[in-house]
Amino acid sequence: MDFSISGKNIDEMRNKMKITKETIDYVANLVKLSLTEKEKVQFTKDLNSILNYMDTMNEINTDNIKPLTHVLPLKNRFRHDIDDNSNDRDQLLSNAPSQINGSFQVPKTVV
Amino acid sequence: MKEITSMTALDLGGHIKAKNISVTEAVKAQIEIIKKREPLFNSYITVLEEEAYSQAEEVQKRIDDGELSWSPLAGVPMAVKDNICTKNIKTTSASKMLANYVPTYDATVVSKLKEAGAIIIGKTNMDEFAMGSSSETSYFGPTKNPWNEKHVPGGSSGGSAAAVAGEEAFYSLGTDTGGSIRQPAAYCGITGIKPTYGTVSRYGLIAYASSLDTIGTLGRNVSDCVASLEIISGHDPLDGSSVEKSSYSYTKSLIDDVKGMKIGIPRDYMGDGLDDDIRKSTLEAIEIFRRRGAIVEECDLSYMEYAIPAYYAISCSEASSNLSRYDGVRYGYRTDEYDDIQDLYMNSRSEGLGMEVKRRLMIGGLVLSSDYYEAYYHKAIKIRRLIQESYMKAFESYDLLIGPTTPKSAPAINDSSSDSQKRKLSGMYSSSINLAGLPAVSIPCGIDKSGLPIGLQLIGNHFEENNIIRAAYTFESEMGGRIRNEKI
Repeated sequence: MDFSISGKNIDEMRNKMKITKETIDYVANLVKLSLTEKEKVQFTKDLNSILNYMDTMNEINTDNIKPLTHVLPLKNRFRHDIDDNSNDRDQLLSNAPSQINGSFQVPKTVV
Repeated sequence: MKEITSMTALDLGGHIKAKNISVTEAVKAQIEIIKKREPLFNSYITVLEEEAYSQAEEVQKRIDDGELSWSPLAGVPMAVKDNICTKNIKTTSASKMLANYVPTYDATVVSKLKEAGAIIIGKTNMDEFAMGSSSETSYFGPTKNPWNEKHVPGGSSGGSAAAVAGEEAFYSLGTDTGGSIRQPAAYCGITGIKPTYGTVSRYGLIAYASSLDTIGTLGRNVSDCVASLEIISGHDPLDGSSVEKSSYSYTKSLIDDVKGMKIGIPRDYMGDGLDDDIRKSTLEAIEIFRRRGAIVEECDLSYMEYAIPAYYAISCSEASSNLSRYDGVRYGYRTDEYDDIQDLYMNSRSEGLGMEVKRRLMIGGLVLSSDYYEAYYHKAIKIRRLIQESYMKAFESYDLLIGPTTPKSAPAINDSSSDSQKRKLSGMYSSSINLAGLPAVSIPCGIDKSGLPIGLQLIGNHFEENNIIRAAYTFESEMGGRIRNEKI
């Protein structure tokens, strides 16, 4: 799936993509943040502004450009599927906000 | 003998080896200075006084037993940025979220330092989760620039830079995701190296943007930076992105000669918005290199004006993924207010994370969401390829590139004014380098009219630190060695 944007379409896209309060609520839920009204107003402004800035990337045609996900040509590094875990449960729990019977304690996850 | 804390790291290392100074004496002198200067600079989140004395005893014994004869920096007190895990020592990433987090393991770079007999004297202050360029977003208050306390030291490795510049540590580790070693080094009048991505293991580095994060060193001169970089570099099976080279001998490149080296100065780097003093300094640096026999020419790069938008899209996206682990479950801050698991996540994160971090998570969440992914994230990683290719093309003709490290010197604290031209230049100098994964060093090249330091940046091709180290070393020797801060 690729996106070719011509100059005419950038404005169309800009209007479609403008950040609204609904967008903020949607994204806040994705990143698990509960925002105050003041933060929502500020972030609506900030996200619109950064989106405008990022829109400039669409001035360049990148139809035939391969994306770069890693700066160096590395491939997957595998190791043998051997269990080399040590008996370090206490260590792993040492920063736990709440623990019970050697497990992390949290509220009910399945309702 | 010079005041201990004013020596370079290698000088001190030499004195310790020659038994002129004991490790405990060095630690004592360093702790005294830290106590005196911390109320002014706030370079540290945690000072390790007791631990340092106990490390000193251990290291002195190892030196006396002949175990550390291979290590030029054995016994030298140094500082580690607080986003790098130190076993049993609080590591906070300057965030309320990790204010009481005590790692149960050492980062690989810390293990390597300990093996080399380094004395870790403290964990330095930084922007929260390394997100920022002034160290003002730290949960533990801002760090001040030792050249002028009304100004920022830069960021995000502001504490690491201020500690070295303020003689509160002999060298330090920093991290650079979008300029965060080089810019504070420039603002604080010291040297900072960001090596090629993949050179230094990121195991134990609290992640911000995994394809951009790079650990590097800050020091009073090129030799100190290079000697410490050698200690921390090398392949690590615990970091899948670390390249398969077991060690690097950077110190071999400390050569005072640039005859015949081809140096490019990108026209884009010298555009509008560059401060006059810095422009002048950069042009003078060019003359210095020419006088020493290097060939210096203007060259062209492309797509650099898209560095910042691409950087924001990519780094914020990766951050939103990396910071999803902070959920109040296994470690870190947990809210007291929750009825169910969703509340636990939402409230722990909202109460534990600062504004700038939240802003970047929101940007990342937006850019990665289905309506925006193609136009912004996917676009950005294509632009990233174009930026990297542009640099690769330049390196076909040049051994290294040169330019300013920053468009102006350190701003005042709380000065959030931003000028779009300066921002564009910053993006070119700072983030475009991380997008391409290139090595770069910032060295002091002067003082501007307000008395603040200016940095010169040398950029090399992947794994060609030898060229930038050589050029930096030569330039430094032409400048008469390190620039001293008479104020401290």
